[in-house]
Amino acid sequence: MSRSFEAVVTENREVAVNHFRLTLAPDQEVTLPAPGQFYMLGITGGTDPLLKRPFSLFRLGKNGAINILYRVKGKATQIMTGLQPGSVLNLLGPLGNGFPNVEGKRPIIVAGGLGVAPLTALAESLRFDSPRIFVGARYAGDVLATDILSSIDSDISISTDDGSMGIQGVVTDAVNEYLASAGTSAQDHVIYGCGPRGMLRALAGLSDRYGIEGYVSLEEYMACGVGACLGCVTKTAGGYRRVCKEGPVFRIGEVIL
Amino acid sequence: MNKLETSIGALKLKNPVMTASGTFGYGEEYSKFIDLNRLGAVVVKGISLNPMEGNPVPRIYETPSGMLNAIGLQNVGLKVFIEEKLPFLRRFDTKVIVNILGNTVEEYVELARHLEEAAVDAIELNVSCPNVKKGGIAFGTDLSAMGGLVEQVRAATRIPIITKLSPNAGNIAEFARVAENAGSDAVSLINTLLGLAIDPQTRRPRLANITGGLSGPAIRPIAVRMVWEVFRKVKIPIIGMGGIMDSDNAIEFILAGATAVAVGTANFVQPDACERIVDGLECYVDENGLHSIREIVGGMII
Repeated sequence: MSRSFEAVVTENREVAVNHFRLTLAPDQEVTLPAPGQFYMLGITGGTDPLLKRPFSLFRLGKNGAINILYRVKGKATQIMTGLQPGSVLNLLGPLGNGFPNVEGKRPIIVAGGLGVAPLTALAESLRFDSPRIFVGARYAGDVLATDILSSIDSDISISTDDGSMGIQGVVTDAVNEYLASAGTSAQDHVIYGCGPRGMLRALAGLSDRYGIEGYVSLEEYMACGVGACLGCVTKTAGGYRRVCKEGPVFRIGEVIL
Repeated sequence: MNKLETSIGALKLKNPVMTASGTFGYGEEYSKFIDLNRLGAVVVKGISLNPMEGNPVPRIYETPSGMLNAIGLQNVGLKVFIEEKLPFLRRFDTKVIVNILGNTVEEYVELARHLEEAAVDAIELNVSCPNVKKGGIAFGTDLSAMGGLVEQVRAATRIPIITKLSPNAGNIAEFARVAENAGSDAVSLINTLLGLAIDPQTRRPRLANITGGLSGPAIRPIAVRMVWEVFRKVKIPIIGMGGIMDSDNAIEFILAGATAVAVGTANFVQPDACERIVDGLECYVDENGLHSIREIVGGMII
């Protein structure tokens, strides 16, 4: 099955201030994505913006509908807000490696800001493993997808920098508290994280302190998305690795955050 | 008869479309999206004697109708290329051209010898990468250094040599002539134009390397002009490149004097860009009643 296809926009809805959810219906049978994988989206077909833009899978909808969660940040995402149902986009994907399944461990899912996008897909796939979910954002307006996530973990923990929603503080402090209270059973967990580098570094610290395996999904500027241009590399213990190809999910300890 | 057939010196190509070095890896990634058998040639990512780590990130930044890159020639090195990458490419009915770079003349010579032994179809001398301090560009900005390099490599190998020229080094036609006189079988142009983008908020450069090479449609008119200038100065074939997105763009380069074309940034935008361009060229020769694409090389009507 080709990983290059066209998809029709069926919905493009503002779900929070400056954040949209785009729903795309592929025009053919496509490879099913795994949580953590991403797509390159051709926005205009013109030359400005020129390159496709990477977006991780947010949710897999009915009939293979691809849901993307995006924040309006630059020219390309600004143009995306104007996409109407019926618009046709060119896609590549699913690309990269998703989050690995770790048997017998309880998932701790830690999302910072828009990092919630790939982790929502993951949380849905791990629904029956009773994941503990931690969401962090700058303020209440940036807390996304909690309706879906709280249906998976009714004890979901939300932290905001300014305290406008949930606990005031950084999300990794909440994770730390949870692990500290778990005592020796802390090691029965596996961490999955996506968010700003600072948050991922703090997660790596927790993974180390409690001796817990963990995986993080990284973000980087990409040109090709398929491993050819070497534009999106990240430092690992074994040298540079491509975020689009060997990632975007890396094992904590392997990647240098 | 194949109307798209052409040749770069002794190197016969089934069509004039090749990939631009550095935009197509070693072919594996894109083989999932296009049929490599349809390409005139695959020009692989620049190879040095030893592996190179490349530059820190960010390495790329998009600009209007183009992109800046400063990858820094990250590559697997000669040994891994020959043992692990070349056998894959050999499975396809397309020519394999290996872009090479070094810090000294001796390194280029050694690379050329080993690659001839490995039976690659041609080598492209990278003397024009703008993103590394040592090597490459040191030869590409100095007429006599470049001439000396081409002569030495010429003396060391019989396979076709293509010299890839910089648009950042003064009169490109002069460099082309020096390459021709030193025994280069062809020249390819243009490499990327040196550029800079700055973030107004942080006041920092967009790329960790500060400057980067600009590619994409933004540079196309400059590239076409340079091909035309070189065409009037040399007799050896020209491989034209710079922002080719479709077959009309490719025709533009051919009319300016290019015998073959290379497609770079367009691969990132549309992984099957090269194949579409081959299709488009086939239509063009038929619609225009040409017997061969070669009839219109340098055919701009003034």
